[in-house]
Amino acid sequence: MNHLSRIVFYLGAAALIVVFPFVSPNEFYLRLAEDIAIWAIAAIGLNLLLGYSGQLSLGQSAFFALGAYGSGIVATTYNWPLWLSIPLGVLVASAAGIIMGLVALRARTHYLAMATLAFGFIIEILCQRWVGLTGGSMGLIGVPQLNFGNFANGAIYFFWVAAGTLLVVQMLMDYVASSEVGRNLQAMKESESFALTTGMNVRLWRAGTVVVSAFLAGLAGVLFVHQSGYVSSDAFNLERSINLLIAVVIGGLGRSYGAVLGTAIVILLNQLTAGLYEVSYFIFGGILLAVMLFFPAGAVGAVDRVWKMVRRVRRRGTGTLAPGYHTLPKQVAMRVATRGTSVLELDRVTKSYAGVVAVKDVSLCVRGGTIHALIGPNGAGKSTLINVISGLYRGDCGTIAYLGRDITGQSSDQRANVGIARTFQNLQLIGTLTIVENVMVGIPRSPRFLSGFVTWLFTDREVAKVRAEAMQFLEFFGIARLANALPGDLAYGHRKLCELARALAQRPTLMLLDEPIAGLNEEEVREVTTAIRTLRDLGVTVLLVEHNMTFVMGLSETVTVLDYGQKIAEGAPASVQRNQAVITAYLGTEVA
Amino acid sequence: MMIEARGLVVGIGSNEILHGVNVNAPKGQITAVVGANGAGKTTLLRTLSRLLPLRRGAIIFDTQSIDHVEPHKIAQRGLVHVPQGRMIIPGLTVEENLRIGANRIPGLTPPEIGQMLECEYERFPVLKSRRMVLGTSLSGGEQQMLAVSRALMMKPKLIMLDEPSLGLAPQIVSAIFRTLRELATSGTTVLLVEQAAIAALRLADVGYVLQNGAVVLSGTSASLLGDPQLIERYLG
Repeated sequence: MNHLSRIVFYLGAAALIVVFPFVSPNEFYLRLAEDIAIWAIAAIGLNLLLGYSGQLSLGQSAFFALGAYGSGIVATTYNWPLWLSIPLGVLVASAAGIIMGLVALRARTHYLAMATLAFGFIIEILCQRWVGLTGGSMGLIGVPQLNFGNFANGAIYFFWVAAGTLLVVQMLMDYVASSEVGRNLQAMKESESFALTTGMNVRLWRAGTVVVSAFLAGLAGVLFVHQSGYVSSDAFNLERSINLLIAVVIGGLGRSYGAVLGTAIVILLNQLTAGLYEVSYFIFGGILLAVMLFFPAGAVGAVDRVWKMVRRVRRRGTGTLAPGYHTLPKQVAMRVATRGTSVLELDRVTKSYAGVVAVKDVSLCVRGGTIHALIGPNGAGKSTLINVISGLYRGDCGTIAYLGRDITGQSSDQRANVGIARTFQNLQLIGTLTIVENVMVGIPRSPRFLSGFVTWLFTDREVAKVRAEAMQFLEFFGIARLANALPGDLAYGHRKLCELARALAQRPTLMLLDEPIAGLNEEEVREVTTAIRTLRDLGVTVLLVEHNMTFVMGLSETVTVLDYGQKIAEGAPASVQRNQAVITAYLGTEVA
Repeated sequence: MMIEARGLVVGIGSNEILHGVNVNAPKGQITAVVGANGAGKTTLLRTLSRLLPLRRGAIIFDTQSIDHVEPHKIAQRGLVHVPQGRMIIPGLTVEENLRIGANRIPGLTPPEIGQMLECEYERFPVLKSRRMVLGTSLSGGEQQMLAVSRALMMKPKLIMLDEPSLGLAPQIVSAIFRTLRELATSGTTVLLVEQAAIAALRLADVGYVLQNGAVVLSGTSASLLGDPQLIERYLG
């Protein structure tokens, strides 16, 4: 979508919101639309958290309750005006979000789900039992309604506020989904170590998404409490959190419109089946089960599938590699080191886990503009050493200097930002992003959310710029024609090249390649070999781990051999091949 | 032949790992498949025990095709695979781990199982002294012995071992290799894959050298040990 169609779309949505109360047959439908708007706001928060950042919360109703009571109590009991109470409610929910965000840094995956579940229970009990404050299940009566003093048209005004808020939140969500923010979140969801090595401060992003989702749940809660002038603690039980989760999942996890669509489906389905009394839950559950079985990507995914069938999109990358290796344009300035200078220097690095010493006292110097290989038999400690260098593991002792500066204490994302990029043995590409978007993940940037949002809304300039930059890297590796394909549709060799393009987009001084040709056929091996040589010719320093000896010996200038975590040989390929210690390490000796 | 693999082409996802591998293990002998890491040794064993699907090729085990037989049925027929990493079941004692092996054979009576246990304890006395401790608390070498014993509790016709010497001290390796020789003498066929070629070929009767998913050398192990190409096939 370009910015014009985007603006038209949003204006259309705004117009629909304005006229809806006048075309709605009666108050009941207006009320239903209000409910959808309120819950969709909270659902968008959960979609951002689960669908994009990959963190599951089962306690969203707690933030919802905190927002609701935070505003409702001060407005009712202490007669605060709404313009003061509403920000307070949102603030209370967000503050709780910060606490849960800190929890999210320690507790991951199902542990985070359990923690949020527990948090939900605590808040639920508090709401129920602290009758003096909340009114408990008897309810808080006489909460001021958000009707701008006009009781007769109050419902219309309220709908406008709720739906208008939803529209703004959805617009921000669309920006997230189509910008680097969303790409970063998906990189983090794919693999935390991968995200770190692209230079993302993962801890900040993880906690941040929890806070934003709490903020949105709180905002929904605030709207809810001022909707009808009455609120009881029954509104904030576990079922609410679960329903929110159901809405997001059947709408489409990680899809921008999944939350809104899912919320509408769940609320309407509830209404339709409510009249059937005792069997309503069976029907409701049955429909959900069917949706999950037949449309695992949710409603948005189903719509997508139909749309693609209609347009008969063919994206499969076929044929052989057609390498480009154009020189990179001037505006893509690389950060290369002078040939021959010390780029990376390891001094007696040791790393052990669970009592096993994986790397012991390894000293190593990688020189600028060269290809340096790290080899060794199974369990020699090669991968461990690469992980220590990229900062995913912290060494036990020893120092690592990069371009003459000590980086031993730096985290993985800091190392990525100063120019150490890496690829992974088991290919790290984000399956839900196209090839060009995957490369865009690597492009260094300084995210400014609001200005980014405004430029995204009114121009296509920024998007086009980053995209064009990413395209240059794809062209460089000769895979530009596959730009819009998804990684899963590509041959393995093409995916490897895409990963190299992504790493090169980080403008690395030093590139760490973990088994760059594992699983490739002969022709693909030749292509990747040429690609790595071209990288070296660009001035990029390469340190690689690989098993294929023909490849290693033909490509590298220096080879370091590890065995049982220790360096046993180093030098030019030919000398290493003749080294008796190396031969013994690989072929073993006789046993007694 | 106890097992015959003809023209195996195997891939994982979009990677082709074995490009037409032929390997035969003669009855009652020890066959060693050696090669550097990444050569496809583990993939070969996983294919033979039918844990990985075949793209092309055929496998004949004990005169019958097992191309479309499920892994557990193959194990019951006597093709037993000792995976790399040994797969000792956490939370179970040494003896319980051994009993898991016997459980795979239907219709064994408790006295029979007891007899088999005694037989294994005789083979590796250290397991007897540790029979009530957790299998995972054993040392690496003892765990490898346990894994071999557990496989033998399944009364295999063919036992396949994935890098049994990895990470073990030389005396332990020689104890395990001695056991494999005894097994072969008593009629069990042994197929092992190893990176450490010299020791494995010294033990074996027949050898294959695997490089980048293809057999590049084969013959009697003595002839391979004398072949100057052997080193080249490891170091490029």
